[in-house]
Amino acid sequence: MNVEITGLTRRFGRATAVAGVDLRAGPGVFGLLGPNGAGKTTLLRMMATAIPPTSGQLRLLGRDPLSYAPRREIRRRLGYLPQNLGYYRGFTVAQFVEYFALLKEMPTGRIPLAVAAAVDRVGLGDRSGARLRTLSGGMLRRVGIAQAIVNEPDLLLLDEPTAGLDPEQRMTFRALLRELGQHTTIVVSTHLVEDVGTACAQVALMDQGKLIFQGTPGELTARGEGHGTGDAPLERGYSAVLAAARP
Amino acid sequence: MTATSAPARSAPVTSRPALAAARLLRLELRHNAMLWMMPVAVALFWVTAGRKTMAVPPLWGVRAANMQPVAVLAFASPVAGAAAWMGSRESRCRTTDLVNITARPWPARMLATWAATTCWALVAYVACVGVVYGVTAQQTTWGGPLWWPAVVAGATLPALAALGFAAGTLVPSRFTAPLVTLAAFFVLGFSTQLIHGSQSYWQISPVVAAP
Repeated sequence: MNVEITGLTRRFGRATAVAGVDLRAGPGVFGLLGPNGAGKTTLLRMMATAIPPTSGQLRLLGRDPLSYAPRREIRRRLGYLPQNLGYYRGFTVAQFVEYFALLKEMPTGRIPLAVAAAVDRVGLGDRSGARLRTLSGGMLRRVGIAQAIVNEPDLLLLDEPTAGLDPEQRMTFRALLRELGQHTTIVVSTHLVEDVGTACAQVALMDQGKLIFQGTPGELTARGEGHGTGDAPLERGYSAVLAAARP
Repeated sequence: MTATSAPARSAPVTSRPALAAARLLRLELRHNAMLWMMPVAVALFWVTAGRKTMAVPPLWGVRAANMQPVAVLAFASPVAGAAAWMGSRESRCRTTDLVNITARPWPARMLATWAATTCWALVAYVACVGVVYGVTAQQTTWGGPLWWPAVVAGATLPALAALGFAAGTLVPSRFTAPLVTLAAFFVLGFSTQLIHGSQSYWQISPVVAAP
C-alpha cells in the first residue's frame, strides 16, 4: 500500500481538524469528498508531509515520514497541488516547473524533457514561455498540476484540482488522472461529485474530521437510492451518507 | 483500485548536485530583486562615493580610503532591502507549503536565493570600484592600487544580504523590505557616531576606513 493511515488525528489548538482517520490506498485514483471544513485539506497536508499529525500512524510509500531520511525519499516521489496555489509572478511556465523539478532533486539530465512533457500534458505546451502573471486562473491551475507531475510521482495529492477549469479542461484532466492512476496512487480532494464518479475507483467521504464512508462510487450511489436531495445519483448518495452521519 | 504493495525502489536522484545547484542559481539570478536594485545602487554609489572620491587627489591610498565607507553606505540599503524582499518571497507568494514539501533541504533552497542576491550586488559593486580604480589608474603617475578597502566594502555585501535575508525570512511581510532598507542605512550611518577612542569595538564597522 502506498498510503497507510491509522488513527490519524490533527488538532489546531482546541479545534480537531482530523479525528482518528483510518485509510489505505494503493495505485489508482482515490477521491476524497466532503463539505467545507470537513478536514480534507488538513488530511492531504499531512499526507504531503507539510504538517505532522498530532497522533496516529502515517506510512507513505512504505516509509515513515516522521524521520528525516525516509521523509526526504518520500518527497522525491511525491507530487502535491495545494488548494491555493502560490506562484512567482515573474517566472515563465517552464521556469516554474523546472524550479520544482530541481527542488524535487530530479536527475538534472532528465529535467528539460520532463518539464516539456509535464507542460504538454496539461495542454500548456504553446504557453511554456509565458510569464505566470499573464495566465488566467484555469491556466495557473494547470501549471500547478504540471509542477506536481513533473517528477512522475508515485504518490500524487491534488487538492481541488479542477477548481477554475472549464468543462473541456476538466474532461482532459480526468483522462490524465485515469492515465496516471494506472501506476500512481492519486488522492483527489474535491467537492465536485462528478469528478469522483468519472475518474475515481475508490471514494471516501469526510465530515467533521471523520471518515464516514469508504467504498466505490457505485456503492456511494447505492446509498442514495430513495433519498430526495441531489440532482445526480452520486450526489444523492453523498447527501444520504452525510445526513445519516449527522445527528 | 488495486491493492498492490508499495514499490521498494528509491527515486532516481541527481548524480551531479553541483550542476543542479548551478541551475537553481541561474533561475534565481534571472528572478532576483537585486537585479532591479542594481541601477539604484550604482546611482547611489556614483552620487555619494564616486563623486566624492574623484574630487580628491589621484593617490591610491587617499581615494581607496575615501571610497570604502561611502560605498558601504551606498550599497547597504539596496542590498539589504532586496535580500529582505527575496527572503520573504515564499510567504508573500504563498508557496511555503509547495516548496517545504520538496526533497531539497530548506537551507539549500535559501542559499540559492541569497547567493543570487549577493552575486548581483557584487557585480554592481565590482563595476563601480572598477570605474573608480580605472580612472585613478589613468590619473595617477606612481604607486599601485590599494585593494583592502575595496575588499572590506565588498565583503560587507554578503553579510548585509544575509542580514536582510534573515529579516525577510523571519518577518515575512511586505513592509519588512522597506524597513530593513531604512534600518541598514541608519544603523551603519550612526555606527560611526558610537566610536569613542581607538579602543572602541565600533572601529570594526565597515564604514570606518582607518582609525
